[in-house]
Amino acid sequence: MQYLNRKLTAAALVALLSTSSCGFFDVEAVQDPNNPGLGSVLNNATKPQLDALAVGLEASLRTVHTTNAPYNWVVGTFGREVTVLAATESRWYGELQGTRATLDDAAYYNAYYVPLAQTRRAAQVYRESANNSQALTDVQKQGVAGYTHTYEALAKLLMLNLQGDNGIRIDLDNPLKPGKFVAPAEALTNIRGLLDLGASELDKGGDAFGFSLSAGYAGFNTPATFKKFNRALAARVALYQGDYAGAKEALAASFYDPAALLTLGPKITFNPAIAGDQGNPYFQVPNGNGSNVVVVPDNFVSEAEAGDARLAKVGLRTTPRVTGGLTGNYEARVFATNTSPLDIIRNEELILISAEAKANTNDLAGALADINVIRTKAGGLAALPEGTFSSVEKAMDEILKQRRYSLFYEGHYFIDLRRTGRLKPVVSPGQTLAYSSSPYALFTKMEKPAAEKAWDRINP
Amino acid sequence: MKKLFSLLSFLLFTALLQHAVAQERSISGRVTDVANGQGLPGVTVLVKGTTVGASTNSDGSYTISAVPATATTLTFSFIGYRTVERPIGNSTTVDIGLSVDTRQLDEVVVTGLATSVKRSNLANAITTISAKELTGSTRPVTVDAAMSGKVVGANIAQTSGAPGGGISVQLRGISTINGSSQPLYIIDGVYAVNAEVGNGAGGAAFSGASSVAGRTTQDNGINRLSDLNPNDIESIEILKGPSAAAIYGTRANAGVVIIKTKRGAAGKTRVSFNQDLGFAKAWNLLGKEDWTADKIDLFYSGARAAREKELLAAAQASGKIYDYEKEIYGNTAFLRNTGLSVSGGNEKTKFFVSGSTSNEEGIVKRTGFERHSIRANIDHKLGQRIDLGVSANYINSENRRGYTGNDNRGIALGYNLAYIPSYAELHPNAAGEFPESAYTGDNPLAVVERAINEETTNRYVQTGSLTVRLIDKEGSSLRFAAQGGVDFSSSDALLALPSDMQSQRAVALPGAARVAKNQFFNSNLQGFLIYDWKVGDAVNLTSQVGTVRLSQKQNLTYNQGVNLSPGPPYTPNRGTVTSQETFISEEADLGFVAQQEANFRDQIIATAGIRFDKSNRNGDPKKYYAFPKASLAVNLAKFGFWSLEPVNLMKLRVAYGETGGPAFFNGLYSPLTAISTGGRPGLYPSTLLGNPDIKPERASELEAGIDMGFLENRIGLEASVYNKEVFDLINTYTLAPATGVTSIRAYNIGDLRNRGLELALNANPVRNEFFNWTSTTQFWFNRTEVTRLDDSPLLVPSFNTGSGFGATFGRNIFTLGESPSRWYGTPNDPNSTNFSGLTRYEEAQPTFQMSFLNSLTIAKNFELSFLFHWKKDGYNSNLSTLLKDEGGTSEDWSESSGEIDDEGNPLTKGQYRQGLSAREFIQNAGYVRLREASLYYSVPSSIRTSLFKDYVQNIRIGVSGNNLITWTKYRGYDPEVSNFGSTANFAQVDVAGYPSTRRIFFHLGIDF
Repeated sequence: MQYLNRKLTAAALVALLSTSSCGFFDVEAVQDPNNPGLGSVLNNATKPQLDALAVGLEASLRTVHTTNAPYNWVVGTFGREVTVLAATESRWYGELQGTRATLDDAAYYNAYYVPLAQTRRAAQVYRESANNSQALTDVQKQGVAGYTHTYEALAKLLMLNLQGDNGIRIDLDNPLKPGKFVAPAEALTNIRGLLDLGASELDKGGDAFGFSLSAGYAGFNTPATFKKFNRALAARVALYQGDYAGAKEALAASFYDPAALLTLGPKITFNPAIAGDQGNPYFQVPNGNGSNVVVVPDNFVSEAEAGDARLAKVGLRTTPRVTGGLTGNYEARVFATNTSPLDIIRNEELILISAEAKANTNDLAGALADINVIRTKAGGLAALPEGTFSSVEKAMDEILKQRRYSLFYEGHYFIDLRRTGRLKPVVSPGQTLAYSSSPYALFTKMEKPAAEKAWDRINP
Repeated sequence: MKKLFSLLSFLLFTALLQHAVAQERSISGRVTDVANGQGLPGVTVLVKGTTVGASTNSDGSYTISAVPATATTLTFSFIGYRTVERPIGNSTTVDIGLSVDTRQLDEVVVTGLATSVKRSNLANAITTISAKELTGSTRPVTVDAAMSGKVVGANIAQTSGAPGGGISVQLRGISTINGSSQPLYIIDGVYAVNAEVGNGAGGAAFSGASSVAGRTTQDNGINRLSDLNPNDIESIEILKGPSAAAIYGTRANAGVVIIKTKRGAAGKTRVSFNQDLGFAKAWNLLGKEDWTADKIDLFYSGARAAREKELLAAAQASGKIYDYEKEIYGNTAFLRNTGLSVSGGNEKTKFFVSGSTSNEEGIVKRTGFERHSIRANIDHKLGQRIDLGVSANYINSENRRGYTGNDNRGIALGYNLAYIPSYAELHPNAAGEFPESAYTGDNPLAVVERAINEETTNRYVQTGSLTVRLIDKEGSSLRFAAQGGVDFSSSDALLALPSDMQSQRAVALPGAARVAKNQFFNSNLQGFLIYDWKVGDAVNLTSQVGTVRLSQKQNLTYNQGVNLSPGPPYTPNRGTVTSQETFISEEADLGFVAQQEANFRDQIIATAGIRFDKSNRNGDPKKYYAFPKASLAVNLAKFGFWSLEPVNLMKLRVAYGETGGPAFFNGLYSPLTAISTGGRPGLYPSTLLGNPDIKPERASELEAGIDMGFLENRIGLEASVYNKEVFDLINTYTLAPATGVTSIRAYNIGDLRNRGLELALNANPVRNEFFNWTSTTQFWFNRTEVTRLDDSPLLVPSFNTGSGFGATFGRNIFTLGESPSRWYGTPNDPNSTNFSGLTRYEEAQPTFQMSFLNSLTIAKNFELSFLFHWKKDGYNSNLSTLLKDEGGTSEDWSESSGEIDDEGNPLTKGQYRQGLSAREFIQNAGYVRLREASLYYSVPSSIRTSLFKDYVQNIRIGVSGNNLITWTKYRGYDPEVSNFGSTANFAQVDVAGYPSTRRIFFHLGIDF
């Protein structure tokens, strides 16, 4: 009986355990069933993997605009170009316009921050993967380095734009040991250095890239032409640095061309019909009554010169939008469809940079010439007569006014006002900022994100 | 079936089937409730020392046909009643009366995966809820809702008033700070699917509560536990912490809820039918304030003010001032439950078969919950040595939850109602077309009528158990017990917003339809050898060893189409732009268990055990983690020296145990995310780094208590204190986001500690023929504190946790010396030690909770019961009033606040409150609630027999209610609320969710 019992026990256990085909006692490691891993590209990536990383880097910049706090909404609100009348999110038009004394360091409106950081890292990972792969030639690797360093610089620049005085971290290669925040001037130096490094790498990048760019880069998709884009960004950075000579030098190597189309320049493309791509978030249906309507304060229209063609960027609503007691008579209509591309940097800005650089280097006539290109081509306005720029101050008033209308809702005005000391209720004669006095107030920067503060608290 | 069994027995177990056939006799009798003299059905009658026995039928009668000649004693046991032993002597009839045991000392409670112990010998405070306590009073729609207020040491709160529920259960404080802290649910030995996975209703294309395209934490999802029919449940045991749950090992950090369903009893076949009809109505609406021309001037300016004044005047002239909240939330919902069960069997085979159908309408039109369930539980004895048991349960449930809660698209009802003035005209015209709302992103009446959010679940749960008694001798027995099963749940959701709705016309790609499929497959199998033996006469020992395997798979997909052609029907393939997502997970755990129990004359009971687990959710899938336990109970009153007659129980107990919580699926991986531009596929690094070294969270708990019984248990007190520490808590490790990596996905960031006290006082103050009163009073609280932030290899900074909407409305911070459910918020406090400089506010966990459950039997036939539940304090982040202030619709909007703005203009309350700091929004959500109350009447047997002769054994009618009265200062639909469903830290956010209801039922129960 005892023997039988033992046998039975064994039989029962065997019967029980053999029911599971994969082995009752085996617990196997599970590979990620949903996504490829970072480790799969960092060493010996194949050409298709590297190509995918190149696409990923270009595409990642789009995500800065497709979060629930799109970059141009945040910058546009800070610069009072637009007001986001969100029926179910009063912080857009309240808190962000200063109704509460402080900004939240962890609210939804910090959402632009991480995508920018992610773009920078996508550049780093692509460059490291390319360097550790046999699939590209050394010349092609130089092209990758030039492309990625340019994107890193761009991502850091946009981040600095919103962080203002807080500065940014510039040493970011090791996510576990990031460098400290540095002041804006040092950050700009770093960004400019990255662009210069990228330019020198592009010079060594041969005739063609070892990867392809989207149609948004038509005309800028070889090392030589991409470098023109790189130099355009360098001109913007030099302008922010107050290095006007440097700006002019960079412009000379960029695609700056007063005779060319003002829209010339590389773009972010949108296509919501393709998986992994998205629609242009700044497009809105005219006269829409949805939950979120981006309206434009009346003073954008009332302070424009009569007949300015650029007023077509806004439209008078058939019924005003009212949310939270704020009335929006005009709405933003910069984009015709949700597949309209978004400019990264374009000729119109370069001409304005040129004007500003010239005005600040004792070339007021040259500045006037550039401004008149803008006035006539972009605004359909009369050219200003010779001698109008009697002083740098006068020239700057006009240049900023032209920037307001030419680069409307493209993420510039707030930064322009701040860097020129004009971020105040009255910008210049005849130019004001809406919602700039009590109960509203102007902010000069976004709050440093809570996670950055928490990190610095523990890593002093 | 019978043939198969015979064949099997013949082939495999012939040897075991031989047993001595001695002289046998038959004993019969009737078991009644001493309180009212009525027959007690379902009482287990056993010949002591054997497995021979029967259960009483519906009128309390029983017959045991094969009583061995050697039998001397019968034991009568029934959950909720005191077990009685009665010598047989020579009689062939044994009648007996059982009395309610408020202490339930003799019921058996699970302590191992395969063994149980008498409550009087238990070293842990394990709460047991009987069927009577669970659903005997009223009919909460889900099992978890039925537990509310009945479990000392638990935080159980409704997360949504939507039909079909939405409940969060937290046992003994915070066990984890990521994902869900819901306990493990085990139904008849199967690890039940209790995921709360959404369908995307809060996603970008729908309410836009979250910018995430796929499933979000704001989908107003429900726990799949809601599929289980509460009426099928026999009892629920709640292992609240690691000291009791250690044997469940790696997934038991948040406690274990063991659910046993009803099983058949030998005897006459019993048929029970019950029918409940009821209705539900919102118990609290937020109300509104009407408008005047002056108010419009305060709210609007310029042309718009003039236009609004015209609209107001026109509406007033035609009497068209509406209460839209009432129109949408003011309906009365019809509720219906029908259940039929048939149970019975003989000595060898017992069965319980039940079918039930529930249909609960929601108070919002086109919302509701339906559940249809069929169950068969069958037990069979194969000879003397083998017991087989199977349970099969098929469930079909359907949820139509509508759109409520947070919103960014004008879809969610409550959110948008807050902004609609009473003079707005939103009703459809003669052609059925809804006008646009000038105040919100969509017209809520159109949303009610046209938006679709429905989800159908098909679920099948199959369990099986096998017990083989290998040695069955006096003083030593060895048995092999195997148990296992599968739980497969497949939910299909359809979400749709037709393209011609207002909110859709305003977006670039109008109209959205989504088909989401959530599939879960759990399977588990365990085998144990259990050896009961004796050392001398005094020491009973139980030894067990076993192995356990669990695997879980998920497949979550959706297809979505936007830019829809006109419908209906609304399906994704009607859109021009389609997208899809698939998420797959699979995981497996394996464990080995050994446990030793020793019982010295029921005076000293000691248990020690250990479980070793490995899991492929841990960094090293081959590494075993050990979870030990040990406990000691000393029954002082059973010692010879005990002479205090009125005190019949005095038990001191202490228990220690450890459990685990594996890293969440995905925690190991550093993914590259798919992205594209220009039609070319791309990859870029996600913001997350995996951690291949992740260890499981581990919790240890030391529990000590004293159990006392006075006057033959007419008064009982159970007091416990516990210290539950969770080590190596897993959370994302927040990195400096500037690096592009926001976090290490899973990191063992630190420790926290929960300490608490639980008191339960049971009493039977009055007990006689005409009036029997039993009462249970429970009191409990928990305090949580972070005790360590890890410092090696990385220093862990304090970080934001929980689901708050930000500093303005309150958020939670994981920081040393504080509770992770404490609120922080604006304004900045110069003395704050917090990294964001925020002011420290109150705790989301209640100061204490108390419940008071009473059951009174009056004049034998009337039974009255009621449950009061007091939650003292506990704070929510509440945006309900803010939304209405912003919309100008709060009831007191125009009242003077006594404050002025910067320019000296007086501010109304509605204006003033909008500018306030987090102090305004972090609100006390304490309440006292009459959670359940009922009155039943059993038709006396004289009337019954005169009407139906003997065909009907019992007729019971009653009326009951849920949430009948609530006393609270909270300003919202209900202080029990959570925009984010069940959250790990139990700090809840209120954004105008689906209102809670007061439910009234009428009951009819007939036993045949």
